[in-house]
Amino acid sequence: MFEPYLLNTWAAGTLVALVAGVVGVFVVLRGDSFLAHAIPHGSFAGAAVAYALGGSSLVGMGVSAALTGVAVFCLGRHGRKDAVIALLLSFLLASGALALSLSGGYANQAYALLFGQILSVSSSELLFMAILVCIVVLAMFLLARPLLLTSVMESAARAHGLHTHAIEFAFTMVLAATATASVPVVGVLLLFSLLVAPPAAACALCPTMSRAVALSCAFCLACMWASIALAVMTDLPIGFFVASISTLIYLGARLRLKYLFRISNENSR
Amino acid sequence: MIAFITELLAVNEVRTALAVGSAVAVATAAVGVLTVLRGQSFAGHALTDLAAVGGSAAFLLGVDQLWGFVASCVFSSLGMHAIGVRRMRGRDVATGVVLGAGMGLTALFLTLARKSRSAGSSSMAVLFGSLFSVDPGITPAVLALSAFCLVVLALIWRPAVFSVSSPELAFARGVPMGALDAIFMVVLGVAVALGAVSVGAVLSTALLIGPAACALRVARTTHAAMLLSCALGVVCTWAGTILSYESYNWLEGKALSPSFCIVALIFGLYLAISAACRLSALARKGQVAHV
Repeated sequence: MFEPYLLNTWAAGTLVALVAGVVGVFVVLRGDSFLAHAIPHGSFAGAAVAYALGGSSLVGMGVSAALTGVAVFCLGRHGRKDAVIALLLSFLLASGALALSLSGGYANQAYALLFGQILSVSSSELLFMAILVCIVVLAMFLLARPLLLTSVMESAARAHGLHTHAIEFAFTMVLAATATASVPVVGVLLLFSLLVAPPAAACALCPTMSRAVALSCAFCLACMWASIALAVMTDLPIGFFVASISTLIYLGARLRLKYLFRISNENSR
Repeated sequence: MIAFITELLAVNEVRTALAVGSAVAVATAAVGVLTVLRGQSFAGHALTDLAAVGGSAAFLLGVDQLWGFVASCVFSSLGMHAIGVRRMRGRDVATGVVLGAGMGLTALFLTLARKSRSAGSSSMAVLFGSLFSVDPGITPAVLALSAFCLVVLALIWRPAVFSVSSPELAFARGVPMGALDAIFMVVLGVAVALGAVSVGAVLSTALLIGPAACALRVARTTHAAMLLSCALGVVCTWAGTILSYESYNWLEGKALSPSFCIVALIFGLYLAISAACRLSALARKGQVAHV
């Protein structure tokens, strides 16, 4: 399980889990699940086009994830945001599938991008991912307080003189960077479960923001490590394990919450 | 032009594709209007991804995918109704968690199917579909399911629009909101399953949301929006199918898939319509300023 050729996978998985844990808390707080679902689809299209043209897939992913963020931001300001996101993401999926089918590497490439492939991380990609993750964590550190205010009380944030649109846009770009760093490992369709379920569990259990971030990182790490181990042992796609384990974590948190409520009700009686 | 169309209709695959495509387009576009009005685009999208679970399970078992799509969609739409996805708070996260779990299962089923028989790219057909490979045998079932959607939609139309436009008033007048929601979710499930047959499970969102979102930006009444949405859906499906069929000649042996053409046309249409709306709004503002 810890053979030399898997070391990059473990390192990449750890980076992805950490960044998803931090960013996911804000996704859950802001109710941005749909956006977090859409942006990785942009990176799918970008990686597919890059594959078809023979370019670097990480650069393709980064560019198209950022473009997706910009498009959602611009189009969503005037129309219905959720309808725009829904349309945009199916268009991106369709064009990604088209690029792969035209280039001939259809099934295997599409499969790896959609559901994740743990053996595909090279050392140079790992370095690129590490740099992206550092940028994301730094950006979240700077953004955290204004973003929290904007998410919870937008009018108060405006009254404080914050540029709420700029902050929301910056958060969209952070999501794009997260998607670029994570898609090669967990895949498009399942990055989302890592971004939503463990952070939602952490938010349900913790009273303060900083504790929620710490707990959510811990959940994501546990989920990721267990998934890599299981994927290596069973030869099934890693995305399946990430999704099931993070769902179990969420269900566990909900059950514990119910139990705590019951105890506090009995005590108050 | 007429000669061109008769020539196209002489091909069996195109005939099936257009028949199935039109029926599906009408049903999904009609259901889509209520979906967009109710702000349930995310739920609709989640259902399309859950349709992929049923489709891939059916693919693994060797059953026709239509029934896999329908079973998983109706089952999960009722599940969403039971969790109470309609409540604003927590809806987003509940939908997201269910969606993530569903995608995990899809990954598992498709991998198992790929291992058990070397299926190659046909496993991707569950996700991205192709109108040209629709089995002509399922046409009656598709027509019947589309008719079912339209009839139920016609029956719940007035109370449903009422409950969207003013929920409190509708509740006070005794509209059975819970039952209405459950019925609508079943219809939504069937519509998404039909869309999955037409353009593939993960792309069915476009067929559901796209024409409806376009129509709602232009039309003034809900009836007009409904008719316009159905018309746009059918036009995009036909144009996409024909474009895809013809692209085989232009690209020397490679073809644009019908799903891509349909989805791209719908997306382009939406962009064009929102740009036109923006321009006309700007023009009106300009006139006022001049006066």
